[in-house]
Amino acid sequence: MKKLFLPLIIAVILQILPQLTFPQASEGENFVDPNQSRIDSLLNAIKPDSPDSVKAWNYSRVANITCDLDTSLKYSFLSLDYCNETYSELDNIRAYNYNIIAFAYYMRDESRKALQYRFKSAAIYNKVSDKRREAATFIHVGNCYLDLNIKDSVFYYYNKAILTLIEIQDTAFIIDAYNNLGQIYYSMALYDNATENYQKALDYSVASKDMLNMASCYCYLGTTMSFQSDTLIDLAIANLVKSVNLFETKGSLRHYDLEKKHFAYMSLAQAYIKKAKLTGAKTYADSCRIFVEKAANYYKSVGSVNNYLNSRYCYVDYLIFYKRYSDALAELMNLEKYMQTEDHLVNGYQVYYNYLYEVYSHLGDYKNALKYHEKYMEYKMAYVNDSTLNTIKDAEVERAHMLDSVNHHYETLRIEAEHQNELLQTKVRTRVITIVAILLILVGVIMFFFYKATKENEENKLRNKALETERSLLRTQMNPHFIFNALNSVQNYIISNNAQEAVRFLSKFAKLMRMILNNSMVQMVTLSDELQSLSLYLDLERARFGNKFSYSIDVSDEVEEDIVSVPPMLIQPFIENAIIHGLMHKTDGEGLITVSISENDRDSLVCRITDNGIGRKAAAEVEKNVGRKHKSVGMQLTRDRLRDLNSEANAKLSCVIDDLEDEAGHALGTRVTIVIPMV
Amino acid sequence: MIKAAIIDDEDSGRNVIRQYLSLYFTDIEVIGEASSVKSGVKLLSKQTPDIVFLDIQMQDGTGFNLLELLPQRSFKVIFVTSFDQFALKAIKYSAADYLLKPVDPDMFVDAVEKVKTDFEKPAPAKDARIDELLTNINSFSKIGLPTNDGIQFVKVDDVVRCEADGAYTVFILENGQRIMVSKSLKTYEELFADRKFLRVHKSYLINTRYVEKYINGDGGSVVMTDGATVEVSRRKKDELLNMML
Repeated sequence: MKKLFLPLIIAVILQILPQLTFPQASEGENFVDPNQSRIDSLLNAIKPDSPDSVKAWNYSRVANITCDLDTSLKYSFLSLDYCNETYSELDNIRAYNYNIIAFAYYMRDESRKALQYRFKSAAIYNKVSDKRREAATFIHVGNCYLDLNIKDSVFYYYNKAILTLIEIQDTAFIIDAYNNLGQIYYSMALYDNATENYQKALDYSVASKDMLNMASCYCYLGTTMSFQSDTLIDLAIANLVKSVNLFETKGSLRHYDLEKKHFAYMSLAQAYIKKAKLTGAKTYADSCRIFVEKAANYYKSVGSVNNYLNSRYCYVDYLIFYKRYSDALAELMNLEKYMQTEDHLVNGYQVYYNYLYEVYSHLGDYKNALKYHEKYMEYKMAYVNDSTLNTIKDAEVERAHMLDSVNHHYETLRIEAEHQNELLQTKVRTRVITIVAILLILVGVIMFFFYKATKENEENKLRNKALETERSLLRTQMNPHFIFNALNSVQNYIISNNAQEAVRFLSKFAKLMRMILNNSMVQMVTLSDELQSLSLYLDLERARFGNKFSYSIDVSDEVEEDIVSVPPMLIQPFIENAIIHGLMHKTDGEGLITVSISENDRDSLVCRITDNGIGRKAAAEVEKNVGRKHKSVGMQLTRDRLRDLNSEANAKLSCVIDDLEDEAGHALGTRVTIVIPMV
Repeated sequence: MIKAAIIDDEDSGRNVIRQYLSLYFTDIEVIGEASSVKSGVKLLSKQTPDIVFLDIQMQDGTGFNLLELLPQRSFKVIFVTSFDQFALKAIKYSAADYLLKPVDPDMFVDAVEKVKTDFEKPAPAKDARIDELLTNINSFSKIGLPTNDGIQFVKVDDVVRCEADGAYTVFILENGQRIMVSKSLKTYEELFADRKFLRVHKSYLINTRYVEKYINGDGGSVVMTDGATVEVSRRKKDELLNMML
């Protein structure tokens, strides 16, 4: 739970120097710089006859704002080319460039190169007596040395920076520097040195009456002390309480203040639970509960996974304190899902498995305890191997040491487990038999239900699959009559030497086939696509029947054709029906088919297909006289499809056929109304 | 006289194009035909036609392969294909000219007329669309937009949204540029179907990666990263929210 807040503080210090922000700059041709427009305008402002200082400054700005390390290096070196003359303005730009170059190298883990450039810029700031920037550069030098793991130099340059800052009395900066230094010591587990530096930061904050900095310092001091030693726990709590009070009375609602305040809450909760464990006093545990709640809620709301986990772990400690082990286990199980987040690295797993190990041991579940202890050690070693602060040799020594301790733990746990087994065997053998019997029956019952459930599940899957296959087949189906009759028409055009018509007819036919093929691959198509294929179909039929009928497709204004979706090829069979049975036998006047689409209460589409044909009764009569028992394939398919679509929840398609008659009862035609629900 | 070449591995395919040309375009002369990638390359390195009618799927390779073998080409290409979804998508992305088999005579006349007007414009000898087509063929990262001043290529990922303007479509890019294109919004809805684009409204197609926030309502609306508010159709609300999750 020793979390570094170093980046936070370093970021504050960086603000007075050029600072580059590098998102994960994806390299390669797809990378587009988010600041490209600003970069372009800076580059455009450079004319061949611009003075060198303008060129130097603009290139340097480009280097600073680009998000690509290579671009940044390229332009800062370019800028340096224009900084040859020596006067103070150019000196500043040169130092600025050196800092940008250094930062780029630092980001690339080339800290030695970064150091060279930091020294160059420090020399310039020294020459122009810019103490403040000189000090800031020294802090960066310190950070480079920290990266190279040369600790003596880290402290040397930090102290040098702090001395300069004291000289120019830049209090806010001094406080940051001391806190930063404290943080470095803290990360090395040198707690005495850490508290010493935090104390100095605190002194400066008190002197400058900077309440918020005081609150931060009390917080860092308290956090460190609570890790440092059991004897300092009271002092740690006192400091953290001061910090919390200050944050609560003086803190603003700005995010960084809130962040620090809740960090203080979490540290205080951790200190309280430690005190509770040391003394066994429940009041401390209850105090812990109050603060842990606040911290956890906050971290959850801002999505800070690591801190959220740390505060929940503190709650797990609280549960363990009250011996509520099963609750603790449940809590840990709840936290498992956060383990998979990206920013959660090996040390996160290490802590998590250690808690699981502890809780399982308390619960007497030694098998799981062993399992998680094993995992804990595994991650602990992985973490050590990853850590840059340890050399490989150190890691190996540690590894050997850990293997020993693993073996030791295994041995003790195994002995304990054996001991438990003996107790069970001698004292409660009869009870074991009963339990085993009950278990056997239970397993039997569970197996039975499991078997039944899987079987049902499989059956369901098969049924759905069959349904889907059938459906896609149905969608593809165009009445074969239509296809062959259409081809026949082409033959007819050719034989009658009407090449032009043959070609036009064939093109439309091909276009319709293409649409049907495409539509058969999807379950829903947009209404506009469906109407386009209908209109193609109607054109073809019209040509085939020598323009014996005409048609119109009307869509009312409220229908959004491109947005609304319908099952493909649902309307076509009704139209085919209207042509073959209604219009083909019509002897008086021109046939007419009207397709009208409108919306009904905003939740369903109403499609009306009206023909002025001979009507169903007469059609049946004709069919009987001809002696043809034609059963429309299209209609049968459509009925099947309607049934299938309706077998799905919420989809209630309906289809109503009306015989249109005049007052005297003479047939005027047929109207089919299809209601298609819209999702 | 405009010179044309026809490359197709089927006799009937070449025949139809030849007949159509003699029927509708008396000012175009067929100077050569080829029936494979190999013989096509040979033909085109000897002759210099103005238009090439090029089949995509041939026995010994594709029309794209043929073009790759002729980097110095100076002719216009009209692709001819039957049912090759992938090739068709690539062609549409590059805004190249194409015809579907069986060839519709009206479409044929339109396509050839369009190429003929391209000859009148002062344009570079080499057709940039074909270069883009060949480099883009596996990635579909760029789309060719036919504008008044010619074809403009933009990265699909840079498109923030598209708006219908009558039969035209206005593209709005990440850098704020607006491009008016003489094709319908539906064309691009289909081309970008698998690219995290969604037709949220009859007049709007948006790149969901540029959605900043969703404002609840009957259908609601979305605020894009460029600050524009786009209305969402009631029926597209669920699909949009599903896509954003």
